[in-house]
Amino acid sequence: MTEETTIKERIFERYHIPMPIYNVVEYVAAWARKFSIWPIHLVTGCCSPEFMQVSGSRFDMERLGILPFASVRQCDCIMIVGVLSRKMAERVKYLYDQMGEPKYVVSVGACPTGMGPFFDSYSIVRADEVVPVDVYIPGCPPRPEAIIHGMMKLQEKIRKEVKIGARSR
Amino acid sequence: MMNPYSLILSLFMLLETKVSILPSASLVQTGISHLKASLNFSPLDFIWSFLTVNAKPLIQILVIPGLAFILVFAIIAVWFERKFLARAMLRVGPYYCGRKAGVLQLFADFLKLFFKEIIIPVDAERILFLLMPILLPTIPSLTIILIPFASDWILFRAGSLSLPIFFAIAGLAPLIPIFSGWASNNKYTIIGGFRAAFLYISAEIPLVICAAAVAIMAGSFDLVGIVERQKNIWFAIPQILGFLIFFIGLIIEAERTPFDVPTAEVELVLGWRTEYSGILFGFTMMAEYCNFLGWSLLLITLYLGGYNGPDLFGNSLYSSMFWILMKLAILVSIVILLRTVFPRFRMDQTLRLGWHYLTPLSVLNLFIVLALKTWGYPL
Ligand code: SF4
Repeated sequence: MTEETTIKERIFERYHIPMPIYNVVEYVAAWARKFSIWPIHLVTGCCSPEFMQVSGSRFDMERLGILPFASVRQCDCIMIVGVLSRKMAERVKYLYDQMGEPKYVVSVGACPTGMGPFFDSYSIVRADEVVPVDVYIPGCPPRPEAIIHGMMKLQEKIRKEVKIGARSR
Repeated sequence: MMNPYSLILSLFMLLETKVSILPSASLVQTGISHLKASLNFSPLDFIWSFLTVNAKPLIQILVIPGLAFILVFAIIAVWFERKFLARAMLRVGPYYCGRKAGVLQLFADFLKLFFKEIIIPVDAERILFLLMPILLPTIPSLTIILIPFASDWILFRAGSLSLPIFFAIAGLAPLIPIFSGWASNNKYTIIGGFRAAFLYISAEIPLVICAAAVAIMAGSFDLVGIVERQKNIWFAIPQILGFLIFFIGLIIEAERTPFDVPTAEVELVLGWRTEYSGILFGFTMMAEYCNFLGWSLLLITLYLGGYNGPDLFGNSLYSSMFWILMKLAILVSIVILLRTVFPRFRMDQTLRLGWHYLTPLSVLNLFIVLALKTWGYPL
């Protein structure tokens, strides 16, 4: 996509490591990231009952290697589930800054995606006004199948990032 | 022509016999012969002969009680735990990663942690913070080398000191959560570290008293001797009380679920490992399973007959290893099953269990063993 080289590519050029090795390393890393997304869930609204189902016995998200986690330092992905008020938006930014680098944001539901039923409220913000969002999952609330589909889209995106070098900056 | 490299190696082999860590009496002879042979320079021959002479210790260090075994155990145990928990909750568990049943899931997790950013907090003590997770898996691994996997397959043959050495090394474990909690400089990590230390101390005293009872019954502190005394009857049968106490103490020591208060996810974010990100967190997880492995192997050695079992393959070495690994697998699955069944104990409940119930009961167990011994059991 872009012409400019990434930091990783520059490091590889500096130490004269051939490009095929770089590609293999990136490929393996992307495979690992794809199958081991550990999301932290920021559940603020009424989407949460649908979200709970996703880790339950009928729509098992762990099949994809997605392990819900309690601590943000070890996580790769924030799932913003439900309505995002101005006060909560600060916390989202704070959480986003606490995570280690390959990090993704998924906005679950109509509220963080486009304000949903509260479109004329003074105190609600969209998720992408605060942090860069990777996947939007529409629906009020989205069905568990839709949430899993969104996570699969995120996996696809992680896989494609290798080719265009988007995440390496 | 004199070859300095070969000279140093032969001196090292001579020294080695003095330290007598590696069980090979003929090392002096080979060392001297190598000293002579080093006059004619041929490094490849020398390395080859070094490898063949020390093949057994090298296999022990690199493969079975050593590195590969510990790593493979950690990987298989975590995968099995996730799969088993999922089946207990009527889920499928890891499925799409790898060809069958998500077998590559743990490799994916490990690689992802490896490629992840490591965040060092501004307030942290940098050196301690980085050192602790690396030091962490070494202590349980050091305890594993004392366990006999067959009558002549022990990495560190400490003789009649092996049981005291095990507890001396395992007693270092509480320092690491305290230090890493302190170095992270975060209130959750400090609380988690101190909780871990309280927990270890409350569990370790009953464990030591139970182990002492076993040593009295066997008449030896030597782990091989203890196993040899269990040829006819496992010590779990006369000492059923001690066995149950040791089993509960093992779960407390390994921070498994009914007693995982140091890493309680609801109260403290992740306990003393909150601030570790990336591969450092991977090290802490591996250390947890190493610790679990060490204590399980000690339980098997003390109470469940160690490597004893009927001879299956016409080869005592293979069948001994088969039996100890079988027992390990069954014990690990039982402990994982407990995780699906029980909720978490509170901190004060766990401490009360340790100090008010397990310690007096272990003393009672000691008296029972003394009474059995005075009546002449076991013959
Ligand atoms: S999208 Fe609908 S269900 Fe979800 S939080 Fe907003 S109003 Fe509630």
